[in-house]
Amino acid sequence: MRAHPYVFRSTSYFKMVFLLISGALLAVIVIGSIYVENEPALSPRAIFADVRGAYLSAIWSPYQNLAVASTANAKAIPVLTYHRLVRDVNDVANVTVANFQDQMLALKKAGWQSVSLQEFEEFIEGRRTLPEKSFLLTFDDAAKDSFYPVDPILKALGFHATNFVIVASSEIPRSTYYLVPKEIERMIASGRWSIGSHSFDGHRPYPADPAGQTGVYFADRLWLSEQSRLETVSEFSARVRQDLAAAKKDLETTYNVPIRSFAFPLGNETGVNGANNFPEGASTTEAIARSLYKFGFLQLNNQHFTFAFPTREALPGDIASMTAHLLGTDFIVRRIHVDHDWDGERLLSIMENGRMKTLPYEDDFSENRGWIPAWGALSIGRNNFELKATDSHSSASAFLDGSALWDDYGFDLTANWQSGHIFALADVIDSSTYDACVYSRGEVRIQSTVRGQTRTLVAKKVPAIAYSDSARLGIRVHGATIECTWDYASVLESYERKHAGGVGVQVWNETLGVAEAQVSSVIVRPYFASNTPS
Amino acid sequence: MKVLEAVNSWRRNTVVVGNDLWHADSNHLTQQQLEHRRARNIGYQALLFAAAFLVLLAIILIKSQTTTASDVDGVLLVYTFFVTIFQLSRLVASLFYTASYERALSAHEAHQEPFTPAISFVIPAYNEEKEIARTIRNCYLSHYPPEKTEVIVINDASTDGTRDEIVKMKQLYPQLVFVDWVTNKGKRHGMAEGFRRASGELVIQLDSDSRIDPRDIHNVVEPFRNPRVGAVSYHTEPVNADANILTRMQAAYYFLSFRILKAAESTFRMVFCCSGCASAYRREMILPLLDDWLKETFLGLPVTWGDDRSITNRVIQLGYETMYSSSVRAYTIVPTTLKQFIKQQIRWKKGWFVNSIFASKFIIKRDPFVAFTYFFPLMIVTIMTPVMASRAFIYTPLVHGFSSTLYYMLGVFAVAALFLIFYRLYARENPYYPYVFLWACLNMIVLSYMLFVALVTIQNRGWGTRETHTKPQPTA
Repeated sequence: MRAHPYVFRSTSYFKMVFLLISGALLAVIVIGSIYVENEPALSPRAIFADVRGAYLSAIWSPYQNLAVASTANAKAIPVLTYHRLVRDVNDVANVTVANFQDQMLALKKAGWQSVSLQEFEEFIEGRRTLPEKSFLLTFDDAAKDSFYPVDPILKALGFHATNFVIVASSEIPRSTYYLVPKEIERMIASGRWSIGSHSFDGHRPYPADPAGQTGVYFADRLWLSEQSRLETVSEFSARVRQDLAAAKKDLETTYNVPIRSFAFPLGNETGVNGANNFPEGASTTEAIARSLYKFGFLQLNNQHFTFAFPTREALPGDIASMTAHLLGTDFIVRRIHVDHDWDGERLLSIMENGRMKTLPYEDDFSENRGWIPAWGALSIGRNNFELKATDSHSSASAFLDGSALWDDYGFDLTANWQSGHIFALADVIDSSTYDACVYSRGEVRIQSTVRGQTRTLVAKKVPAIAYSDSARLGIRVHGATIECTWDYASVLESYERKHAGGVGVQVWNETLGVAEAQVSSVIVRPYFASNTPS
Repeated sequence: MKVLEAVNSWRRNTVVVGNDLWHADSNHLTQQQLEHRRARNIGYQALLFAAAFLVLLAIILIKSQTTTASDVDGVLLVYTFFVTIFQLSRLVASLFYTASYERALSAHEAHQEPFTPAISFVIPAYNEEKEIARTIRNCYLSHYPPEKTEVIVINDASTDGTRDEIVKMKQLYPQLVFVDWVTNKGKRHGMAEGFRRASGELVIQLDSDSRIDPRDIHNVVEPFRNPRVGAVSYHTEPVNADANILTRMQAAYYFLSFRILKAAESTFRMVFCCSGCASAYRREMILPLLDDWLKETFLGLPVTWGDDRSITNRVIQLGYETMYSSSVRAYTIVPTTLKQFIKQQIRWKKGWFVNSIFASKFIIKRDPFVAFTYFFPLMIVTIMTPVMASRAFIYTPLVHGFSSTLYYMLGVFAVAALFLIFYRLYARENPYYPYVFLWACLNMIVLSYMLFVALVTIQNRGWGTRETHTKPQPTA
C-alpha cells in the first residue's frame, strides 16, 4: 500500500469533551431538579401566581391607592373565612377564584382594608385602633389553593390575609394539596400573610367506636383499638391539650412568629356530625384551647352580631360594664363563612350591614339592612318583614346586625299580628341574651333573657292589647328602665335593666309552626326623642 | 401535483444552473458588509445560546415538577430523565461534528495535491420513468473529469417506461453502463451489481430519484483522502418539501436526522446508516462483503429493507470509519401521502431493528465508547419510547392522574425546543424549523408506535422503494 499523507487521528479528544459536557449536563439536570424541587418560588404555580399578580396589579392600579373613605375608628371588625379557591363552580364548599376576585375588588372599591392577624389581635385587646371598614381575611387548612390563587389578588389590592395551618398536613412530604413548610415560610416572608394554628393533626376523622364509625378529634372520645375501649375523659383532655400545645410550639419554632390564635377545625362549630359520644367534648376543648391561645375562631351561625368586638376590658368606656362583659370578645371570635355562590355585591352588603348603625334608624324593608334570622324563617323585601316559625318550632326570632352598641333608645314597630305572642327585643347581645316586651292578647310582660335563661321581670293585664293588622308596639330602654309601649303609650315599666344592646323581633305560639307576624316598619330613636309619636 | 412540479423544476434549475441562493450571494459583498453580517451572526448565535439556556432551565423545572408531584409515575420519571439526557448528549456530540470532520482530514504536512479518484455512480431503478432520466443526466453534469466519471444504471425489470427512458439516455451518453434485467431481483441485488460492475475507486450509490448537486462533487470525494474512511453519507434534503404539510415536516425531520443526529454519529466517525439516497463507498472494501450481504437473512427469510444500513454496518464491522458530510447537498423525493409515509417509516424501523441486532454482536469490541454512550442507549430509547408513550397516555392517567402525562408532554416539547435552537444554529436559512414541534408531536402520538407494527409484520418482506404497493417478491 502506498504511503498516504493523511494520518489517522483518533476521536478520543472529542470523546473526552463529549463525556465531560454530557456528564455536566446530567449533573446540572439532576442536581438542578433536586434543588428546584425544594425551591417553592420556582414551582409552576408560583411562577403563574407571579405573572398573574403582575397582570392584576396592572389592571387594578386605579384602585391600589384608593383613599380610605372614613377616618373614624372601627368599633368592631368583621372576619371572613375561606378554605380554598377553586375553578370548579360546582364545588359548594369552596369559593371560585372569579367570585373571590370580584369580592375583594368590591371591598376595595368600597374602601375596605384588610388587616394582619397581629393588628387584629391588638385591636381586640384594645392595644391599637383601626380605621372603620377594616376586616380580617382568613383561610383555613393552608392548602396550596388557599395561597397560590389568593396571593396575586392580595398583592394587586394591597390586602393581607391569614392562613390557619394544620401542622401535620403541612409536614406531609411533597404534598400536592397542602403548603409545605418552605412555602409557608415564603408566604410569611411576602409580608402579605400571617399564620395561626388549625391544630396539629385534628382535622381528619378518627375511629370513635369498634365498628369504625369516625368521630371528631376535638369533640368525641376516640376508640383505642389496641385496648378495645373508648378513651377516658382525662385521656381525651390530655390528647387535646397535647395536640393544641404541640401545634402552637411547632409553628412558633418553625416559623419564628408568635401564635396566639387558633381556628377550631371541624366539629365544634361547623355542624359536622361526629360520633356524639361525649356531649362535653367541645366545651372541654374550648377550655383547653383558652388556656393555650388568646383567641379561638369559630364560624358565625346567625346567633351573633357579625362583627368581632374588642375584649370586655378594651370596649370603650361609654358602654355599661355589664354590656361590655356580655358583648366583649372573650376568647371566641366569630367569622363570616363566605359561601361559594356569593358575588362581590352580596359579600359587601353583608359587611356594610354589619357596621355599627347610628340612631335614629328607620327601616321600611325595601331591602335587608342586616336583619339576621336567629331561628325561624325571615323574608324581607317589597317593604315587608315576615317572620315565621318553621314547622317544628313554636317561635321565630330575628335581630338587627350593627345595632349592638345602641343604648337609651325607643324601638317602635308596626306589625300585622293575628295570633300568638309578639316580642319587641331590646338590649340584644346575641340571640340568647336580650330584654323583651312580650305582647299577648290582653297582656304585656317584660322579660330578661341571659344566655338562654329567661326571667319575667313584671307582667300586667292590658285589655287594649289586641290582634290587629297594624299593631303599634314598642320597647324603650334607658338607664335601668325597660318600658313597653302600645299605640305609643307606655303600658308597663321595669327598673331592672342590666345591660344595653341592639334590637330584634320574636314571635311565639304554643302551637308548633304557626307563630308569625309581618312588620311593615320600624323606627328606633334616641330615648329623649322617642316619647312622642312620629 | 402542480405545486410539486413547479417546485421540482425550480430546484432542478437552481441545481443545474448553479444559482446557489445562500452561498453565491456572499461573493459580491463588501468587506464592511461581510463584517456587519459576521457581527449580526455572532449576536444571533448569542441569542440562540441564551434561548438554549432558558430551555434547559425549563427542562429542569419540568423535571423537578415531575419528581415533586406525589401522583407521579416513578418508571416514567426514570425514563424521562434517561431519554432527556440521551437527547441532550446527541446535541452535544453534534457540536463537535465540524471539528471532528476537519481533524479526520488533516494531513501530516501542507499537502494539497488534487485528489480525483475515479468515481462510479450506481443507480438501481425500479418503475421510475419520471425521474430516472434526470437522475442520470445530473450525474454527467458533475464538475469532475469526465474520463474519471462512470454512471451505472440497473433496470430491475421495471414495468413502466423506465427502460425506454434509460435507452434514450444511453443514446445521449453512450458511455452509460446499462444493466437491464428481465426478472425483478430487488434493490439490494441492483446495488451489488453496481458495486461489481463499477470501475471507479469510489462507488456513489444513488436512489433512482435522488441526486447530488453537481458542484459539490469534489466534496463527495474529499473525505476519502483519509484511508481509514470507508463510507460517507451526504446531507440530503427533500426536493418536494413544499408539497404539503407532511413533506414540510419531513424536511424538518431530514434536517434533524442528518445535520444533528448523523453529524453527532460522525463526531465519533461511526455513522450507522449511510443513507441509500446519497452515499459513497470504497469499492475495494465492499467487494468481499457482497456475497455475505446478499445472503443476509432474518428469522429464516431474506432481508429486503435497510440495505443501506446493513452495508454500512458491515463497513463498520471491518474497522473502517464512516462519516457524514454536510458540505455536499443531495436531494431526494419524500412521500407525499400519509399512507406512503407510514409505510416508509415501518420499513425503516424494520431495517433499524434487524441491523441493530446485527451490530450489537460486534459493536462492543469495535468501539465500546460508542456502544455504551450511543448504540445501546439508542436501542433502549427506541424500544422504550412507544412503551412509555402508551404508559404516559393510557396507563398513567388511569392510575395516577394526568400530571405525569402533562409533564411528559411538556418534557417532549422542551427537548424539541432545544433541538430547534440547534437547528437554527446550524442552518438559519432552512425554513422548515417550526415543523420540528409537529414532528415531535407526531412521533409521540403516532410514529413511535410504528415500531410495534414493524415488529409484528417483520416477516412480511417487500421490495421497497417509494410508491410501490404491489411489488412482486424478489426472486433472490
